[in-house]
Amino acid sequence: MNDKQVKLKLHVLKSIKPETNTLHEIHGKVFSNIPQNVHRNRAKWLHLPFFIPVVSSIALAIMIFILGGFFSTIVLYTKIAMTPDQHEKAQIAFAYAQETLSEQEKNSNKVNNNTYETLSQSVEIANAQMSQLKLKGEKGKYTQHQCLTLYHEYYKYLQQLKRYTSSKATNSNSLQTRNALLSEINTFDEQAEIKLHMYKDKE
Amino acid sequence: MEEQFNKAYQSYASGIFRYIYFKVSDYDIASDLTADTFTRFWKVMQSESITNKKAFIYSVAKGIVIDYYRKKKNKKSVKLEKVDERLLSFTDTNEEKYSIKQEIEQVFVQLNKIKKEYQEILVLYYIEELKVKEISFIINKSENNTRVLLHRAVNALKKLV
Repeated sequence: MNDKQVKLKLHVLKSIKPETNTLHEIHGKVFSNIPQNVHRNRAKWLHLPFFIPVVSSIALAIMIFILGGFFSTIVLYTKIAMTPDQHEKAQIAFAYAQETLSEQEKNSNKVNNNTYETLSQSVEIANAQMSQLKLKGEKGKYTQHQCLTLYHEYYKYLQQLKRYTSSKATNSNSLQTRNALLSEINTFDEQAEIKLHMYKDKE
Repeated sequence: MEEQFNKAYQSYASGIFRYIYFKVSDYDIASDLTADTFTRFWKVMQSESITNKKAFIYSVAKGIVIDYYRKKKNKKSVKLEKVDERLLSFTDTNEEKYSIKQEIEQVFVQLNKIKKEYQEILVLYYIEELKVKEISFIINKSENNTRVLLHRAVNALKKLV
């Protein structure tokens, strides 16, 4: 028996493979174990200085236009970019996220990867604008009470989004996207809770 | 980062699952330990650049299995005996499944007769197709020692046939 024959003999073991579903489940498990790291990385660009998100919003709008022609998103990004007041920007983005959720709730029969991706995109936009609300350097534009009210609404929306996402039955293809969205919501939820306490304490 | 991770997952997840299965002989445990392996891999990816991802993931998997046996009350490692049918989902007919199962279990019988150290090196070299240099990293031996070990493992298996 030479090396080739050994190789041939062992070759049959190479055919052993886990089921595709198992591999999907493991992938989902890995991402549910590491939600915060994933989303901290994803959201890095959201924490850049004030002027950069405006530039990146415009760039992103152009990119989306080229890639998909999603007019509603372009209108949204343009609106955000053209609004000077951060509180108004946050309100616009938040309204868009709420609208997206209520639209999905209306079409609740068709839940798939697209549904989760659309919801994820809208909550990411809202969170990006919400997290840029600040009291210093924005004097006279908006008050801490306005921020508290907006965060309060946003926090309620996140709970509603979480309930909606976890209540939906999903197939194995969409499981990963749904888990990613759920961990994203959890991260944003924690951030929103911290901000809520912060604004309450200052009042 | 996520893209790099997904690429590595697609390329190595099946192999890692199989490698772990050979060590624990239980489909569900292999599934959990594969998830632990990739979670640890992700965490390391955040802080370090990994030059050889394949060798690195296999070395993580080896460590995860060692930890698993350390935590287990009954620390005896299991023998490879039966193949879980979920590992044979690629087969088209029951006859094919039965015949491959038989063939695999015969190889298991022979592998069980040689040292665990030899089993591992044969699996890594002939099934997972790792290079000697990569195996030496995983088993923490020099390249020369790894070559000698591989040679002895092949001889041990040859003697059984």
